[in-house]
Amino acid sequence: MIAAFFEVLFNQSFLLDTAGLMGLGLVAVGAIRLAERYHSLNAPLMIWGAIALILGRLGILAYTEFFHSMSGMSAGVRWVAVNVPMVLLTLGVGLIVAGFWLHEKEVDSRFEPPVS
Amino acid sequence: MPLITELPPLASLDAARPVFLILMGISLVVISWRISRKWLGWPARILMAGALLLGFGYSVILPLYAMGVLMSPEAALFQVDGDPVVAMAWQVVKAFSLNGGWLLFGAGLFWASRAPLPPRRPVQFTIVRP
Repeated sequence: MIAAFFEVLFNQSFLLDTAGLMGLGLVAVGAIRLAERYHSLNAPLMIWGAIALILGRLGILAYTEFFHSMSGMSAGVRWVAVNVPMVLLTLGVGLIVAGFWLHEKEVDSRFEPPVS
Repeated sequence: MPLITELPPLASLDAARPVFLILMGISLVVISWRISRKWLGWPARILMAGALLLGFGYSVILPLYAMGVLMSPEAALFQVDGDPVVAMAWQVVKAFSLNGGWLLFGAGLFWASRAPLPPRRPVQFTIVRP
């Protein structure tokens, strides 16, 4: 039974990937709310970072799905399919960290947000 | 999946990515710690838990994968001294820390942004006279 649990959860890693994507969606929605509530200019960086991470993860999932049918395509298409999700993942983390820090730096110097 | 470039290995994106992720993981933990000191209650704790998991995943686990210390279970089958069970276990650690980390971080951020934030804990200054 433990083996079945292992196989479902980790072999296809579907549930954990879903949890990760849900978390990234929560980051995006939370950042949207923060941007609205504080009229902040830096919270949208977090939103773009979360979107980049979601797209990067979906890109890697797509690559693993279409790996075999891509062997007939040109090297350029395969280069894009491998590298673009990685770049998106890397940039996404950077944007989220940068957006979080800059947002707090911007909000810290202000008073309580207007009740909306 | 290594990036394909013609640059020398030290300057390639393939080598810069783990360094960038280590820096991002550490700065995520530091920034979340500084921010959660000012908030009150559970959103800060959940955010910090997620940030710690992410810091561990991005700064420890992914560089170990990039350095070749850890490998995927499929690759471990082809190595002489590779153990696919151990490799699978490390895969579990990576999956939990990265996916669970983003889940907790997102939940904390979402919760903190939902309601008007709790009043910030007043910073208490004590001036120590020599």
